[in-house]
Amino acid sequence: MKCYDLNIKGNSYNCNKELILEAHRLGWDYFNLLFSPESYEKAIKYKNNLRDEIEDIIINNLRNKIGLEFGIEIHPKNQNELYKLTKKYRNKTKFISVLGGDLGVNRGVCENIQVDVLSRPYLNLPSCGINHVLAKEAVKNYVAIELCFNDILSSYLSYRSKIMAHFREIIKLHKKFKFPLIITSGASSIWEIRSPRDISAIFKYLDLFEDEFNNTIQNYPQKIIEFNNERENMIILGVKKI
Amino acid sequence: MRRGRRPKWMIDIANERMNILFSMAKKEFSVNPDRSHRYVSLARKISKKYNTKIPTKWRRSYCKKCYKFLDPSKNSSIRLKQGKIHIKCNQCNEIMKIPYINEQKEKRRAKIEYYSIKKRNNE
Amino acid sequence: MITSKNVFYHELIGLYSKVVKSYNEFLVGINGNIIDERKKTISIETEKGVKIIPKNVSIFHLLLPNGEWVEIDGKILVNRPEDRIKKKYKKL
Repeated sequence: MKCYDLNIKGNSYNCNKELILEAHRLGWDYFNLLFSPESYEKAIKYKNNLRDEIEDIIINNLRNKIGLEFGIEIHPKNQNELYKLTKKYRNKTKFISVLGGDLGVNRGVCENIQVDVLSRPYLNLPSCGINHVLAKEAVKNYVAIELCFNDILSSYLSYRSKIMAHFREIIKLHKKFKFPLIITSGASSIWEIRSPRDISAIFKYLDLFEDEFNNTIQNYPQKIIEFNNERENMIILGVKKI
Repeated sequence: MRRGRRPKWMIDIANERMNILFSMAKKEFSVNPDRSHRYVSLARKISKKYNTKIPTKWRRSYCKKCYKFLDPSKNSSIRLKQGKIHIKCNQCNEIMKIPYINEQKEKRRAKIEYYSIKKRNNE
Repeated sequence: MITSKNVFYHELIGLYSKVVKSYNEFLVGINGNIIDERKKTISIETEKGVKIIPKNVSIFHLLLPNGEWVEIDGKILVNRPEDRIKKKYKKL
């Protein structure tokens, strides 16, 4: 089984290398480093160097094929800003994720077909940030909704219990409406990475069982990556050059 | 729905589509004439919807009463009578009359100019 | 000119086409020139006669006059042929 991690915070060159090697040791296969729009242009220059160096180190390993991709994470304040930013960066990169946390922004992302992932919709909100209306829109436009494992790790006491309650509510909606759900480790240092089996043990407690968990970690990310690779050839949804 | 004039790119595509349909109708007429009558009706629907005129090349190639495709000498006959072109549809016996007086006037004008230039050359 | 950017607005009659995928397995593999178009069907002329194919359950490959191949999902073609020009599509 292949494990996809679509959200790792990018930093300097050496820090990225350490992060990826540690995550590969724990059993992940595909890494997506996320940058802010300003630092993305610097980072894209050393992407090929980084991949070559990592493949040299892990050449003795059995599963020595890794995937590496760089993406952009944007923080819009309102809906108008969201449309401007997505139009600006869609042709430059292959992966766009938007940080949620505002009901207006959450709604705008679910209706926008140019965005791939809505990241952490429950942030700073009293509720989970998603309702039955947004769930139906997300199915139509194939926007995935991301749960960040780092939120459980780095919080404490009552905050931690509230976040886990939000997770449980989103999983309930996922079972009813079948929108794509993704689980990632939003790690920014090597101490925040856990293996896929550890994460599965916790989410089993939150009503997400093993075959459903395999979908969130393998099938949905695979579909998103395949769709993004063919986005250049597609003119509108349903028309494709061969 | 917005009424009136459409944006320019829509009108361009509509013109191209009408050209394609009429040329297909002419090609298909000898083998299966039913299809070419159908293509004419499709082209007329486009022209009604987007406020565009049917291209001048194809304007006389269908009947104005029964809207069928006309091919000279197989399906219709053309005569010149009383200063007008008579195009007769053989299915419904309708006669379309188109005057050609502008062409006649031009011809006369050219004739006069030709003689007047000739006279000056002689002087 | 028919290009890959405006096939779905343009005229389909006269193009060479092939059925790649369909809800009905017996329709897969039919190929030939398109001769007619209605709201929900396309009719194709083959060696064995004229075949009528429903749009909303099948996927077509089209050969454009400039030599390109285009794959079209039939679901976005479901409309009257003269109404397809003014329909609005979502941009990617």
